[in-house]
Amino acid sequence: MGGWELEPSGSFDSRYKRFEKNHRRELKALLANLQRYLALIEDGQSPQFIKLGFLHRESDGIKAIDQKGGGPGLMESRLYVYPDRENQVLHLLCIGNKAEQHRDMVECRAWARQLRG
Amino acid sequence: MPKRFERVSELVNALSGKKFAQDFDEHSRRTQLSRTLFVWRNRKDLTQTEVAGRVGCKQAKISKLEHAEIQDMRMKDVLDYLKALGLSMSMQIHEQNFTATDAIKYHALEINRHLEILAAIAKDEDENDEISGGIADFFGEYFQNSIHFFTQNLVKLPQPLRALAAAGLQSGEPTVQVSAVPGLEEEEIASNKLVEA
Repeated sequence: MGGWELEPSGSFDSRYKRFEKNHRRELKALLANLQRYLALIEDGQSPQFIKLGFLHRESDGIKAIDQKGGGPGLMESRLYVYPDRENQVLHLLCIGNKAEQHRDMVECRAWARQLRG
Repeated sequence: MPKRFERVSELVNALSGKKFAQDFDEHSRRTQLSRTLFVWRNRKDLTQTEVAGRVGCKQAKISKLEHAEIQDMRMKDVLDYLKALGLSMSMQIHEQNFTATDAIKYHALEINRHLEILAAIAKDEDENDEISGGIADFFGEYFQNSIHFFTQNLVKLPQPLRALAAAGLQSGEPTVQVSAVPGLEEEEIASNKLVEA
């Protein structure tokens, strides 16, 4: 398999920089789990049906990756992604903490609808 | 068109400061083995709890192993994990300056060694059509695949180098003389009769 690409969309870049500045350990854990999720997709598994402890199924085909496995005492965090199987692109929508989840999901859903056309 | 990335580490390099990018890159390299274990468990459609049951440990230990950096992993834990998945492991030790060409030479010699083993089995099982026929089919399949891999990457070379490599193909002396293989004429290779056989 292979051939999937990552594309930052929406507010991903600005949220990424905020996490890099204030929550480095959480960001590292989220990225390590993103790497694991991508490894399974590239191994041929369907991104919508993968079940993992750190992966949460959200509405509109969005998946939320959390920080589990990154060590103790980490703030609950989410990296929202939207897999586009047809074009083999994993859209990176947003990064946020648990408290911001509701607001982030509203934003991510709007982006996912836009990406679907 | 928005920027796209093939790897997470590539994305991190583009978006992060130098220090964070270096840290993540180091972590990424050090977790290559644990990530490979994780992919294999998912291929086998097993949960961490199921693997823990087979190993005889707690699920938390399996989780820890799948996130561990190489320097924190115990060989016995890795072997127990692989055994639980019905897998084994082979190791390769080489110089630190081991290059891609060294790797290709190493694997080419290994492939040659295994082809010799298959050829010997085919000779011993000459009257068993299933085995000898299967081996003959595999030889043809391997020949086609290796040509495909080679040409697929040859065209990726910049044009002047491609021409240079093609010239080398025509004039270079192969390490193994195909014409020296008993019962196999050079023209048979050239006309692809090997594949058809």
